[in-house]
Amino acid sequence: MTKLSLSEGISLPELKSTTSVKSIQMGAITSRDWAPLHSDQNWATEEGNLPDIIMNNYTINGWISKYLTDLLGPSCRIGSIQFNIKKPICPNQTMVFNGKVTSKEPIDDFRSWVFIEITISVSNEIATSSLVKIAIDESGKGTNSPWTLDPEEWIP
Amino acid sequence: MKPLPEKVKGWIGNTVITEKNVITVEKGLWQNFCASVEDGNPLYWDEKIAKSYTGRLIAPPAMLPSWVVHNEWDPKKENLNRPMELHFLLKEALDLPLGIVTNIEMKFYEPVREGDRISSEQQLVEISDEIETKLGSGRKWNIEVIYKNHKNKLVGIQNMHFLGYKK
Repeated sequence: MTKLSLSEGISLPELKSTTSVKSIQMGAITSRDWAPLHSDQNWATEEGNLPDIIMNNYTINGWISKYLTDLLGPSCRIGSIQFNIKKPICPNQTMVFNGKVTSKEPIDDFRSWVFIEITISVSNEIATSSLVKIAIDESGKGTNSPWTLDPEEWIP
Repeated sequence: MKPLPEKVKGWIGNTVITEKNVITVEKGLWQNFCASVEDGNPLYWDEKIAKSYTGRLIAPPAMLPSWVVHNEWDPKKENLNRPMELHFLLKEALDLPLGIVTNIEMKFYEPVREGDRISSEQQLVEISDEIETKLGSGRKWNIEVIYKNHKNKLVGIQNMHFLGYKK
């Protein structure tokens, strides 16, 4: 059972969050990504020819997952996530998350796959576009969590 | 057009890099990551709620590749692999010093839990002919990484598409 009704075509509520040097460094270091373009401002600008340190892909993945599970609750289960990084995300930028349900298909009588397009925009330009496939309980009773599917039934 | 080196041809379709017993999954490590992205999903934080969905706490799926990344210094190991070592081997073999990730896809299977030890196998799926891009000349390649837990259960599959290039 999810907190939000997910029908095809529905848009998800917008989320905004502003990055900082610390938040981008934290994302990189806590995801064990030691590459200096994510944590060392001198390296990023002088060696990497970048405007500043940039958010690493694990952190982007983490933000997309957080955006969805904050809205849908712990019963939803992420099956797959695919994303394209179009522009870097740097410190002191406001990320704007938007999502839209593009399609659904049944897993069984009580659970569905939901396909959601999510974009992260910065300064009105799409920095990352993604497609996430999640499984949800549609029984209305909260008794058919996709977490209880047998491994052979779970085909993300 | 330069031909693909024989060594690289031999990597296509094969496991080139294997990682095992890098670190043990711990909730303190994943909760630090959750804090960095402000993710309060109770499956990562709250034993009582997690029990009713996943049996016990699980790690955020976005961190799956992190569990096979070596520390940069280790008192007992030398010559540690770099994260996504196969990507660096390709850059070196092809004399393409620069590289970017263009597309990532991850599929998640068995959840990762505290105490798990994750292994991975990096395979070169395909590699393009030489191409010209705005960034410079280079090649595109796709590396697939298969992740399993210490019980040999599949926990995830990652496909990463790269562009390696030089100016």
